[in-house]
Amino acid sequence: MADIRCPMCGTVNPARSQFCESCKARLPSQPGDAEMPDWLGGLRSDDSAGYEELPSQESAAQPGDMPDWLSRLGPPTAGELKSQSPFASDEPGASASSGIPDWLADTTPSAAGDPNIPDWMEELGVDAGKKKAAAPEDSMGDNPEWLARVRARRQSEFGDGQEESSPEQPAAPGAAPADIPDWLAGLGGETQPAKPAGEALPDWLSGGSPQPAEPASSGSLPDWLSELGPADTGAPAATPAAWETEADSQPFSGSFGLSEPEAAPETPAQEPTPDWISRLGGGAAQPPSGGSVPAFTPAFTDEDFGDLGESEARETSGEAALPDWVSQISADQPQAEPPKVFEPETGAGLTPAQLPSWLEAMRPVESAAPTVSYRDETDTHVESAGPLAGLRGVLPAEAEIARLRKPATYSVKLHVSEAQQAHIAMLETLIKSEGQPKPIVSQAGISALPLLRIAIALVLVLAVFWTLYWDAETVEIPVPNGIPAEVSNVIKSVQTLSENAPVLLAFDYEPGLSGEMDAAAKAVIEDMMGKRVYFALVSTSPTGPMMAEHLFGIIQDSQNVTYTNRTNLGYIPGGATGLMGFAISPRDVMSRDLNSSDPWGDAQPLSGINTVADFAMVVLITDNPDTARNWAEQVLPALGETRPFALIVSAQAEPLVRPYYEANSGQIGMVTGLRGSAVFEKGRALLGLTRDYWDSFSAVILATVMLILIGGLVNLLAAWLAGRKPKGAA
Amino acid sequence: MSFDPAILTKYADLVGGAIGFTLTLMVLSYIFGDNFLFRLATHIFIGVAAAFATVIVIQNVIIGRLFLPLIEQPGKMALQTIPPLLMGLWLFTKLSPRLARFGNPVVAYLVGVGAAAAIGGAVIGTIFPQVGATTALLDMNTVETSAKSIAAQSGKEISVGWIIFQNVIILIGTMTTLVFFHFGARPQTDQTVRRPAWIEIVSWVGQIFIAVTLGALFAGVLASALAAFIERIHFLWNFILYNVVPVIFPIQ
Repeated sequence: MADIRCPMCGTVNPARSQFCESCKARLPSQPGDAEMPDWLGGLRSDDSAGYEELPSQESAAQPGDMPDWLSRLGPPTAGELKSQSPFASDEPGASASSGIPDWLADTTPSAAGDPNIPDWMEELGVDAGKKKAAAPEDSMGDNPEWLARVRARRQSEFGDGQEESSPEQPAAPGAAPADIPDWLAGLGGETQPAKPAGEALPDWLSGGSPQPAEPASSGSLPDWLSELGPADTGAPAATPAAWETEADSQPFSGSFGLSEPEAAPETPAQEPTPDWISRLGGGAAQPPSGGSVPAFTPAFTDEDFGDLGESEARETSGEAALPDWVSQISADQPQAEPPKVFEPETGAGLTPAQLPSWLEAMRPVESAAPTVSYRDETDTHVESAGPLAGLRGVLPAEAEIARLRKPATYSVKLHVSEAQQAHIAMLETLIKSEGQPKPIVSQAGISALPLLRIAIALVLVLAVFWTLYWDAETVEIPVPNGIPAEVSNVIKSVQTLSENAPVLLAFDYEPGLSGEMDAAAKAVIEDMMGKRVYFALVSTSPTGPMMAEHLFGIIQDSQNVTYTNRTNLGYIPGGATGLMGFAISPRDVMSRDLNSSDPWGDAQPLSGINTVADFAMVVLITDNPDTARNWAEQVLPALGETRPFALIVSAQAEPLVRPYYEANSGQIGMVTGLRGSAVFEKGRALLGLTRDYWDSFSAVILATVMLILIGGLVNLLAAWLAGRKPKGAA
Repeated sequence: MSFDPAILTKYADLVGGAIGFTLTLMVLSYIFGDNFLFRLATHIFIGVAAAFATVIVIQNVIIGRLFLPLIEQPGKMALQTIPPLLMGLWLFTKLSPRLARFGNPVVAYLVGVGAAAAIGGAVIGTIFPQVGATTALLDMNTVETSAKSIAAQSGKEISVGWIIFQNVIILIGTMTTLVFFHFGARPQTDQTVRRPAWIEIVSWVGQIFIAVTLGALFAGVLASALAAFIERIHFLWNFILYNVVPVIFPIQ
């Protein structure tokens, strides 16, 4: 006998130990219990004491094909089997027997021809009948010798208290044939339906019944049997070949401790081992390879088969093997049902195994899985591919993930539209042109002279020279409606000036326009000089002081006088900020004049000037509208409402400066360019530069107008001719 | 041999006139296109103007208003001259790229003060007076005053209705011109971005006034340019007449 190794701590315990000596864990009472279904275990539970004595010749012969639990059985060698196994006897009946006991053999013939009995059972009956001819000793009423030994052994083990196992004393009144499975009952049901189990079945079978003390009821039957028994009885029985695999001659004999039958029975064609059998052996332990050893635990000891020969034992093993219809049933049933079906019922004499929680957790999945399967009838999708092909109700994976499809192809090539390509080409052209040196265009010859430009210049120059040559001064200064109001304001303001009245005179024009500005300002300044006013010259332009001296030089040269009643304060830095500061405090901003002297001294005409409003008049001479705006914004508000403010502006600045005059026409006077100066000279009866320039100015303006008119007509004619050519060509 | 300043003055005017005559001809050579003489004259003018401005700034600003007051009256003028001097020196950090950021406070001060002065002046000196004048165009008191003023200057009677008509034209021109510069366009249903239709119409009217204004500006620029041209031709004529001809044809 092999020792039992504790599955928890690995300690080797004696073979008969139920608990581990080391960790006190419950040892597997039968090495094959873990691998066999419960119903099989229940069948042999009472004989568990004797199974260990059964030698396993087959396991010794092929240790590699059997699971561990079989290995742990410690099979004896073949020699030992010969000496120990009762099956090794040379009894004639045993040698020819197929392994079916006589009691069973007696029942099978009567079942032949019954439509409720599967074919395999009929075959069993046939075989049993054949065996009966070879071994006529047995009948249901006669207990064979081996049964007697079994009974004696059981009595010796369990004593009198185990009377429920005694075939002569039915354990309970209700222990009717219904207590046994239908398939067992069906075996003898036809022939002896009214017989009590104790009479119809051998003692070992009645004693080994899992529920001997339970009242017989249909509800105590396993579901799969109660459901399938009647229905499948009429179904064609699966061939027992399902059991007779390649190793058919080995596993059962091995598991039963039987020796190899010398005369192997006629075996049908090999068929694969049913799945449920595989599961029986593979649920917890490694399945037998090649269908060698089913997960079967010997339900009979060698003593129980005392008189049976090897052939009988073989038949018995074939009987124990379930046919295909059972396998079909198991295949149709949910995966977890078989363990539930064969769960042993608690009887009075049987103590259900109290599995610890840790062991319970190690139970096969089938035992914990739900027993009732759920099928969603609405889900008609059948998996068509993959390992789950053919299954219904498979949980779909994410659509994008599960769907096998060809991945989208993304071209590495960049898609660029034609418009984008055109833009790219244009940009590249621009970039290249930036980096390329531009060739210097060589000066063209005399033929490329700008004739039009020269012609225009000649016309203008000749117009001026013509007026200068004649020097007639015949062109009158036009004053159609009298002196304009803006010029009139300037004249009035100048007339109100008194001698030595401080007049602020700002020269804010560039030298390039000095021809116009000098002519426009000369008349006004000469008129004020006639009043002997005191001029304070300022400028917000660095060239302003120079232009002021230049104009006063022209005036002094024209009048052959030296006007000393003036001071040039110079340049006011800071633009608008400087102007604002000058308007608030001229002394602080312009503390010294161009000669670095103090113009604000007590003896100076400017001694009473503290703000810009203290000047008698402010005159601005500018060609820039922005400069005029700065003065109007920063200085004009500081002048108050009565102090006159005269603007002598260029003709090009007039359109932008006039709004300031229009907005405050009562305070502001304005002289605009040559025309305004001409009006001022006429109004004051003066002869100034404007009069000298007026004939030339009139002739040049006329020539310019004519040139513009001629040019416009030429262009119009050219356009008209250009428009006619396509018509003629068409 | 004694030096006569009158001779210097006489020749100085002649030399100055000759330089001016030469430079004027060099500038007028642009009639034949861009040439060396024109460019040379342009460079001379730019250089002289820049030099003169520098001299003016140094003499009139730095020396006259910074150092002289500080030297003559250090105690009195210190507060007025030292801060500008320090800030002026601080601005030299802008010459170095590494130290340029240290000159930012001074620049910020200048920009801030300049912006404040410009904005304040624009509001007080431009916006308020211009808006006030525009809104007063239909004021009957203003209209009657204008009519009387014009009649007094020209000596002719002018009707108030004519003044009102002129003022209405000015008002329309002002409003339509301002509407023309309204750019509050919105996307339309046809995916285009346009201004409302009524704004388009009004802005079209304003466009006419803007065209008239640009025409006036062009005429003013042309008149100014022609005046400068006339002055230069007169200078050449007078220089030749009074300085060259007497030399060529001496008066006996």
